[in-house]
Amino acid sequence: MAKKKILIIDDEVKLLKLVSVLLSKLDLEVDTASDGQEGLEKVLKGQYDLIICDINMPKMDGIEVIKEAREKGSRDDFVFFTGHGNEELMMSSLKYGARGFIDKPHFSNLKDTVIEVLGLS
Amino acid sequence: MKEILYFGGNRRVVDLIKKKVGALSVKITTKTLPDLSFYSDEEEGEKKILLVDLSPWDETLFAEIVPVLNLLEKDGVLRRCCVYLLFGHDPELVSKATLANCHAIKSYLVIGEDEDLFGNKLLCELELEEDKSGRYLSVSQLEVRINCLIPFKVNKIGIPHCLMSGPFQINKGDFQIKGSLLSDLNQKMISLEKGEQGYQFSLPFKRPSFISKKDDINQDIFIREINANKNFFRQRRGSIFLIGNDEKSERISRLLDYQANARVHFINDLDILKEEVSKHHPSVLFINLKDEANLKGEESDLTGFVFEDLLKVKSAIPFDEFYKPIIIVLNSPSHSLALRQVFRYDKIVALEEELSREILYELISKYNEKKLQDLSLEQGVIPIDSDVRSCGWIISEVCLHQMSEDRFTFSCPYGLEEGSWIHLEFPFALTAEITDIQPSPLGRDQKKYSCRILGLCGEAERYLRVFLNFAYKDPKEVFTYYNEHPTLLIDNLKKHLHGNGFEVDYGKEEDTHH
Repeated sequence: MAKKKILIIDDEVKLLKLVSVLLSKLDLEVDTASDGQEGLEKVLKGQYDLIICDINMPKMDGIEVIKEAREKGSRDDFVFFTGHGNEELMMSSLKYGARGFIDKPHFSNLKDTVIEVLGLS
Repeated sequence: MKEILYFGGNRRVVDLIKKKVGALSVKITTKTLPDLSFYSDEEEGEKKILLVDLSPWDETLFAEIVPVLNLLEKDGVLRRCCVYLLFGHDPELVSKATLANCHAIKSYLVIGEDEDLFGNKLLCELELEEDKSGRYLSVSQLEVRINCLIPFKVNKIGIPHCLMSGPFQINKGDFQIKGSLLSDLNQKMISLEKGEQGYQFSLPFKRPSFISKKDDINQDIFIREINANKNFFRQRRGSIFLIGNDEKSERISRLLDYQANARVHFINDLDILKEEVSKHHPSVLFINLKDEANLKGEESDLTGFVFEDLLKVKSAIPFDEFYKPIIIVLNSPSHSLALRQVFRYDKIVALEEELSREILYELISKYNEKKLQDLSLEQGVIPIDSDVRSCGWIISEVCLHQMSEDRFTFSCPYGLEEGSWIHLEFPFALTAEITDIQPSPLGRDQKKYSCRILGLCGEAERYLRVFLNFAYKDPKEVFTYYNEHPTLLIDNLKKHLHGNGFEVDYGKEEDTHH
C-alpha cells in the first residue's frame, strides 16, 4: 500500500523538524513548507492526504492558506497547530472545513489526531 | 387557469393526463413525491388539483405520504387544493381510500387498464365535463331514518381520555363507534365530549362495582392488545430540539414531531434556548448551518446559523455530569473532531448533509426503531396514520330525503363539513362526499346535506339502479321496509340480477321498473 503523504506548513524551521521526527514512526511521506505562501503553492500542486498547518504565521496565516486553497478547488484535509489565544482563528477555520487542531507547543495530541484523520490503525 | 400538480414518477400517467386535458386551459406541473413534504401554496388564483400517485401500491410510500398530507392539511397549506390519491387496481381499495380520507385526502382516482375511464373521471373531477346527475333516476320524499357512519381520526388512546377529531360539530353525545379499531373498542358505546384538545371520550373499562355494564371492556386485555401491536402505535418519550431559522426547517421539525417517538421542538431564537433546554431537557439538539464560506457554490441556501452560534448552544446546556445532550451540526464543512476541540464539548457530531427530507426520515426511523418498553396508557399512545387503527366511524341516525344513482340528500344535527366523507350501510355500503349544505326542513338545529356517491362501480352500481327503479312508485314504503330488513334487500337484489324478479313482502308484490 502506498505511503500516506502529508505536508507540514510552519514558519519555525526547528518545529518542522521536530514534528517530522515525532511522526517518523507512523511510516508517512512527509513534505514541509516554511511559510504560508510556499505551503499554498505545494497544496495546489500536490495531492496530500493531510496538511498540518500553523494557524498563526506572519506573511500568510493558516486561515488565508485554507481559504485560498478551497477557493482554488482543493478539498485536502487540514489540521491546524494552535496555541492559547487562537480561539478566534480556530473558529474561522471551521467554515473552511478544518479536520482538527493540534496543540502547540506540546503536541500532546499530534499522533492521535494524525492517526484519526488518516484512518491509520 | 386551473392547475394540476402531479406528484409521482409514472411517466405513463403524466402522458395520460396530458393527453386528456392537454387541449384544455389547464397547466400541468410534475413533481416528485418527496417534493410534497415542502409543498406550499401562496399564490392566488383557482384551486389547485394535487394528484398524488401511489400506483402501483406501495405500503411504505403510503406510510410516508399520509402523515405529510395530514400535516399540510393541519397547517392550512391544503386549504386551496383538492388532493386526489391515484391508486392502481386493488381489492382493498375502498378501505385504503377510506383510511386516506380520514387523513386529508379529498378523493381518489383509479388508474386501471381502462385508461379512458380514468381520463374521463379526471375531467369530471376537474369540473370540465357537464354534471350528468340530472340524467339519473331519483326518488324523493323518503324521510327515512337510517344509520350514517361519520369518520373520525383517533389522535390518542389513553387514560383518562382518548382523543379524536372529525369533520363534525358535536358538543356532547353517546355514540356507537365502528371500525378496525382495537377489537375491544369496536361497536362499543362511547360518551363523546368536546374538550380543549378536540373530542374526548373515556375507555369503558370494567370497574369492580355493581354499575359495570355488559359493554365494558377488560383493561388488561386491552393493554395487552396494544402492546401486541406496538408497531402501529407511537408513544412520545423524551424530546428533541431542531434549531433553525427558515420555513423548511420548521416544516421538517413539524413532520418529525408528527412521526417520531419523541416530542420535537422547533427553536428559531437562540436567546430562548437556555430556558427551553432547562424546561424540556432535550436528548438531541440539531442545528443547521449556512454555507458561510460558500464552499458549495453560489446557489447554496444561505439560511441557517454560523459556527459562532454554537457557542450559544453550548452555553445553553447546564453544567451537569448526568445530562449531556448530543449536538448534531448539519451542513458542517468541518469535522466532529474539530468542533469538539473548538467548543470543548465531547458530544458534538458534525454532518456534511444539509437538513433535508432524507435526513428527516433517517431520524424518524432511528427514533422509531428504539425499542419502546411496554406502552403505557397513562402516557397515551398514538396510532400511526397509515394504519387502520387510526380511524373509525361514529354511527349516527340521519333522515334520508332523496336518493339518485349518484347523489342523495339527508338532514342531521351533527354540523358536518363540506368536502368530508360519510358512509351509509343502507341501501347497501356506500361512501359519499358532502358537496353542499343547506338549511334543513326538519328544523334550525339541523342541516340538509347533499352528497355525491363515490367510487360506485360494477355490481354495486347495478344494485342501486335496480333498487331505485323498484322503489320508484312507493319510495317511502320501500325504503322504510328494507331499512328494517336489510338482509332481504341484498337477497332480492341478487335474485333480480339472476333474472328472478324482485320478491317483496312489505305488503305488495311488484316487479322492477326499467
